[in-house]
Amino acid sequence: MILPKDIADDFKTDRKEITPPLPAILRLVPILFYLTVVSTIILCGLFLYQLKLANDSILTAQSGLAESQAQVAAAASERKTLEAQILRATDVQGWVEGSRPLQPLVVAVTRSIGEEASLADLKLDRDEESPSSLKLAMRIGTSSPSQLEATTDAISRENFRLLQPEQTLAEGQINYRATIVPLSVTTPEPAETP
Amino acid sequence: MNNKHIAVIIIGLLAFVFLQGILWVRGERDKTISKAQALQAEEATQRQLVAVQTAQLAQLKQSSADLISFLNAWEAPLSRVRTPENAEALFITKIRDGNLSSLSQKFGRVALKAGSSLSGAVRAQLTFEDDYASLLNWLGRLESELPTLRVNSVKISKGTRPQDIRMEATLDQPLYTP
Repeated sequence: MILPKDIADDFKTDRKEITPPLPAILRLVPILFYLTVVSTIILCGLFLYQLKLANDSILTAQSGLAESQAQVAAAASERKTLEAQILRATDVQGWVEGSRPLQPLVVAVTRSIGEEASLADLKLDRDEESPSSLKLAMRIGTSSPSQLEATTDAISRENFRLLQPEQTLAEGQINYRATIVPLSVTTPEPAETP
Repeated sequence: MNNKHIAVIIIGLLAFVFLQGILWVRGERDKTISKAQALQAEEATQRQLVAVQTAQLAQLKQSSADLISFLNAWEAPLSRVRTPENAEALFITKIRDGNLSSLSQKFGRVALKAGSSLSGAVRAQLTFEDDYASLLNWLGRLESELPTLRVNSVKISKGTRPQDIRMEATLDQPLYTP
């Protein structure tokens, strides 16, 4: 039935233009999107947790490393100090061992001279390279070999060994030269100085 | 291209951005883990170094204990003479105390071996002429009272008077700065 236009209004609006539907495969896009969102939340959470653990490990390692480096530096410093002390101690030991008293040796030599002999002179020089060794030079007014033997025995009793002895006899005088080295290796002790 | 296409593209782009975000976070995690592992390895090496150095130091301490105690024992007597003036004054005092007939006294500075931790020594070249007992007793006392003194050379010969002997001695006193 056709109504005249002046009797009733047509309430039906004009039909809008409908866009054609997307291909079926593209319906997966929203599903993939939701999956991506969920994955992002889960994986990022997991990775961030692991990142935090790694950062904690870095902090711990850095702290441990700093501590170790400090220990290495302290040990190196202590070693340097100790080495300097050892060097100093070695020098001091060398000096002290090359400073053993000579007076007992001089007394032993002079006392060994018998009544029929005389000591014209006696010289003891320390060796520059090895100060514990001494160069002995003496002139004894005698022609008796037993006197020289007594003197060398006296030197031996003072814990010295005679090396490279040279002796000449001329005009009733024995010229004697030798290098003497200490036999004992005991470490000297410092005496109390008044 | 209609609005549905645009929506799909936007959703696809967002998904791509999220995926990139995941990859970026994973990359950061991997980098940090690598850094942590490198630091842990370095720390382990450093700890080994500490252990080695500590062991070496302990060994050195043990092997040098006698030497160090020797140094400690001798530092006090050595430290009494630090300057050439100290040494000369000491020599003069000892000569005066000996009450000996002195013919000459000469003092000078001598250098010790290169690299020595002793800074040098003062050398006294002395000549005396007195009786045997006085001279040798004085020398004995001197060596006993000054244990760090080195009698570098001594020469004994006859003196001008029959009862006297002549003694020429070279004495070195080290200068020590602790």
